[in-house]
Amino acid sequence: MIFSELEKNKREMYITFADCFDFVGREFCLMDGTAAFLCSIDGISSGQTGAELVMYPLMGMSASEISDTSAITLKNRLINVTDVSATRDFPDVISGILSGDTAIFIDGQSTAIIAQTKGWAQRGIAPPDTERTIRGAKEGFCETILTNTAMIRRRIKSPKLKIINTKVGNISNTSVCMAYIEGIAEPALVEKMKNRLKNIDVDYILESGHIEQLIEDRQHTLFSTVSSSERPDVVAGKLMKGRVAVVTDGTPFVLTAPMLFSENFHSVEDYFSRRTYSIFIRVLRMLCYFISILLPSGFIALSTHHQEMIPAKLLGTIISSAEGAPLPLGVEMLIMLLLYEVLREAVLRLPNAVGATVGIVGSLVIGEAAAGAHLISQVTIVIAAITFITSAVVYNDSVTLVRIILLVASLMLGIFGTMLGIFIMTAHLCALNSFGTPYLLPVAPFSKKGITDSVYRDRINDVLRGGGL
Amino acid sequence: MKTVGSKLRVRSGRRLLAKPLFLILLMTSGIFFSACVNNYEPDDIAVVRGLCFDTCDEGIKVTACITGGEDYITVSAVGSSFQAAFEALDSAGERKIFTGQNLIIAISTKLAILGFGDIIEGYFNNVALGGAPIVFIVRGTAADIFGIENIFSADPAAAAVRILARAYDGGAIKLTNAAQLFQAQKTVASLLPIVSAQGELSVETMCVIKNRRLVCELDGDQSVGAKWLSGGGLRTFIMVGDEGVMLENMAVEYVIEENNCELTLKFSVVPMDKNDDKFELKNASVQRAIELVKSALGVAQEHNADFINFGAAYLRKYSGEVPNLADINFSVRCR
Repeated sequence: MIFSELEKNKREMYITFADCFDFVGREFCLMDGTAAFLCSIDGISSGQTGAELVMYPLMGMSASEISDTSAITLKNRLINVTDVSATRDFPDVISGILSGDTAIFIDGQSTAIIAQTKGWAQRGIAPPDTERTIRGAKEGFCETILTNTAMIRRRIKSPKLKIINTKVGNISNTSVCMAYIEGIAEPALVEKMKNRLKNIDVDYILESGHIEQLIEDRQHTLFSTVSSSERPDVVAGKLMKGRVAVVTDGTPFVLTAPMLFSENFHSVEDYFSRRTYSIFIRVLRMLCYFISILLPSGFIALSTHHQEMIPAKLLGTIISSAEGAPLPLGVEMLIMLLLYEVLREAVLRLPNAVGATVGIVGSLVIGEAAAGAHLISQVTIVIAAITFITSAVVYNDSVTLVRIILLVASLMLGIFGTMLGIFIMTAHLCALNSFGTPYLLPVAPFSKKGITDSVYRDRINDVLRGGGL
Repeated sequence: MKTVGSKLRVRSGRRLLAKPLFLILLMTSGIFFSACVNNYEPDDIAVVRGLCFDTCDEGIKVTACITGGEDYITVSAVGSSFQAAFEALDSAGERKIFTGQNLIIAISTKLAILGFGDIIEGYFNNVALGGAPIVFIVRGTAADIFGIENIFSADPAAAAVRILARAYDGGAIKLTNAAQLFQAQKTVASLLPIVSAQGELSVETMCVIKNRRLVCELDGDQSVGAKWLSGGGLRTFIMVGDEGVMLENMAVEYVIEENNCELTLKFSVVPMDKNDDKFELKNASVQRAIELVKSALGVAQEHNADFINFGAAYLRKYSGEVPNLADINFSVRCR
């Protein structure tokens, strides 16, 4: 409870924010000489707004004008501030201050006024790094939750687009918005998402990846069952298809659920291009996905266990290439796959200039020097290169691990191992659910409606009328 | 009566089966125990493209055409049996002999007359990892086929297969692979092509194999008839008088009544030359077709060699033992 004595309130605030150098407290007097105390956090509240739009108007008011129920009066007087509220509880004051608002205590009043003065430095809207397109919007989400929700709202100008704000993280108090379109998203799904967000009991949330792992149906799986995107048009499109979006403060990645396995092969550009071309590209992506996970294991299985299944000329080439290489083909392949991951990791983490150098040196060493020195056979390098190129077409976290697991299985058991791995993977995928929706939905269980816009692309007027999944 | 212990065992068994990891281990070990896993590095194998079998003083001489990449070499080994000869071949070099890419099995006429049952059985029981090589008989020494130069293909076995395939399409031979020979009952006769390797590889006619032993060679007419009756191809070129005719869509129907068998030949006639009197040519072709089939039937009856699929047709109608072909009255007509 807020005290009526200003000194006690001040002391409480200074104790709460002890050793917080960014905590700013400022004493001033109202027109009739009543003492008042204004406090905020520097950096997340606009100093200009606090001083000019809150303190100065207050200095022109007397204490009698500011009573316990004066929030509406204050709103009218402090006209330049978006929102003003009054509270009697310290936790509300603290939460407001930590969100960038300014709190004002007035001597003799057991109510604190909270004026919305949020304002901090933010990155401008930039093209999304992870989902580039040739055609389509060039703007991606940024780290500010309000900017992100505004970008979605700009695309769906309807009051049916509901955006519910909530706080997650016991200490971090991260703002999280749940967005959905009333009448399109299933109420049960909305309720499920609400409950899962509500049930998150952790100290902090720093990125939507944290939330993704906390709300998904099964944490112990290689496959992501919650989709994430940096593009507002993708999220808007998914909302129109009945998904629920979760916008997290501090990250440009917005989550959408439920996610289907087929979404891995979709791109927003599919809907901006001609249908036939989009279908072709989608099929190509699927092909690339399967090549990227099956090619290394298939190659090893055939070349070390089932040479009879390889055309004679190709087998001759493989034999010629393998001659002189000191390591078994399977080990070579495993090394190549791990080297690729190491190289990718190095290029990602290093500064741009150094990263490019490492990339060039790495590819030269792997491609030229290793083959030239007969450390690794040329066929293995070619297979690994095809694998890397195809994996770049459809990239998600699971691809790398699935590829390595299948490779190890094929090393041990040949094609039987690969088949066993595929069997287990398919069974696992069939058992996966995303917010109650089967992960392999248009295929298993089969859905005619889903197939029309999952495996291939439906006609654009059907898509835009809400067809597909 | 179930004891407490047995109940516990059942429960623990069910619990184990419910564990996915246990099931995976079970499936994996199943593959290991079934010995389906052979792991050889590609540069540890010598890829066999063709195998030739001849007789020698020690018993059998096996000659393999081997490739380790781009070059082809010939390696020979001898032994008292197929198994011994093959083991000797396997230990001749540092690489493991790999027969999964083997295209041909060539057997000399001398060995074929003596019998080559253990070669076919040994090949499938002990050696083969896959594939079904074409089997044929070589007049003279079988290994000579690897010495014939072919400007179109560096691989002698692939060249032999191409020559055989060309002779099969429209020719008078039927191709039989080792798997078909292996699966065929010993009592059923088979047909194998005979080739000569004098200077160049040329396909001659066919021979009849019974009990995995060469019993007789067919002449050109008998070969055409035998190919037709054995269902060995859909088209064959024949000479009718001075004109070449292609018989197409060749089929045969058996109507068996006790010891009588009526064969109905079905085919269409495609003249190879421009002919004014098609009706006459057709009639002549029918007479020629009956002649060819009868000549093949004569050989089958003479050697009681069922390469004409009579036994199968007989057993579709009657149960019990198939009568000797010599006791059957065949009549042939054309539709």
